[in-house]
Amino acid sequence: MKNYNFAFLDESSKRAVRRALLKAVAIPGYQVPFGSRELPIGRGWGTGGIQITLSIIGKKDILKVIDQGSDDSVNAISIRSFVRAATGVRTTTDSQEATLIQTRHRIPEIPLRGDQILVLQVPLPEPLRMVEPLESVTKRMHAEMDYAPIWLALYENIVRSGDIELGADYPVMVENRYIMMPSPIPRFDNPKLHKSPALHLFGAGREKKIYALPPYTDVRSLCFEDYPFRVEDMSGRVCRLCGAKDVFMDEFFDPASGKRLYQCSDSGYCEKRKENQPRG
Amino acid sequence: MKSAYSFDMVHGTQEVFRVFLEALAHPGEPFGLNRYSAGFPRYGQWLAPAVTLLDNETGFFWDGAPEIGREIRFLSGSLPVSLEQADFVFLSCQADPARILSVVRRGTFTDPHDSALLLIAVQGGLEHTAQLNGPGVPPEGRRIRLCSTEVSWFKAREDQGFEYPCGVELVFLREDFSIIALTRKVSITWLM
Repeated sequence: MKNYNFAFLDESSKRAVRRALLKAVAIPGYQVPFGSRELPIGRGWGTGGIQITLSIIGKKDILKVIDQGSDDSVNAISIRSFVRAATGVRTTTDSQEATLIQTRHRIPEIPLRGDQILVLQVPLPEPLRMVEPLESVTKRMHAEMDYAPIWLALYENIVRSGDIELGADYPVMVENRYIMMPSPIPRFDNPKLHKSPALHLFGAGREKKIYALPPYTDVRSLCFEDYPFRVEDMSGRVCRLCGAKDVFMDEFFDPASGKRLYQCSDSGYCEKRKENQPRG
Repeated sequence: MKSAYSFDMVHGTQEVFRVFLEALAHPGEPFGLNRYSAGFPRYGQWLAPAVTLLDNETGFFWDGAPEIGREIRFLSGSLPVSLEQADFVFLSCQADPARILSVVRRGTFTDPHDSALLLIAVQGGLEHTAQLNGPGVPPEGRRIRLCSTEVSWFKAREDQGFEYPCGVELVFLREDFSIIALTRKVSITWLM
């Protein structure tokens, strides 16, 4: 891609995204509006995350791209190839080697370090959208910390079904000020956001919003005293490939045996475990 | 034609931005700018951040030598504006913190991002100690050493009583061309 600028975006676009990122880091959990740019992929396919990645990436970075935990899905491979072609940076599947990780729907199993940046692709950044369709109103609600409707929605959920039925994209409270969507990561990954030493950047290209969690930010999943937050139960599940336990698993059905099989959702973690196992 | 600057406007700005990003993500921790400011024959400590963050969509305020203000405008395309309107405020050591903080843009509850970032040159020995707490700071807090000018800015910020999420970002440019940042949610405990 010799006819394009380094990292594809023109410098003016990068500056606009960078300015939004600085404000996002300064106001954890607050959605900073930005002028989302056109990219050679459709909006809703990770353009927010890609614009953040392209705006912050440098020649010294090592990039990992994951989609639903996998390094090998079409989305992950395409984004990785695009960024590599546009920047020439080295890429990896090892989350510990990466300095910059772009992800969709998962946070790596190996805890992140303070020198790493995680960029999350966000389809729907507005946690109040489930209770209020108008952007002008949700902005005012965030300003006034008027979160009663979302608490009420969770309460009604419990009344109807006996439990909070939200799965992925379970809302969190950031620094006791802003309710934020953590992107559609499973509930299993929500606790990884709390006081994480890594910088987390969230990009919603279609919705034109950027937000962030600086290191060590207080992030708590919404819950009630008598209905505590619970992650997905992975107990008793063992990865069929590497034997891992207590990590988030993908479930498969084996028609031959009629059994359920499990394997690590984080393919890089699984590969690394397999490599480190004694052969024989 | 030979350029007057060796600063790389693509990769240099990316690296300077990462310095600012890290500084804001880790309030109170110093990050070096000196190798990037060397890319300009003069005033690199101001010009490197200016070309990284400013363009014709932003307005800046500069209180020092007019020559530097002209250079910032020429290189970034940003327009000089009043203190009350500025997105980026570049200040020399002589600035009065209380006066500045009473007029700069601090955002609103609906648009807290619509606020200023101040880059303030400071001088003097690091004679004071404080502890920071809040986002970007480990749970046990971060102990930092400060010069008298930084202390006066920190205290003026406390006196101003910005109600979060409104506020400003303070970035101090030290004599060794390192920067430390103070984001609006971070709290200070004085240990001196």
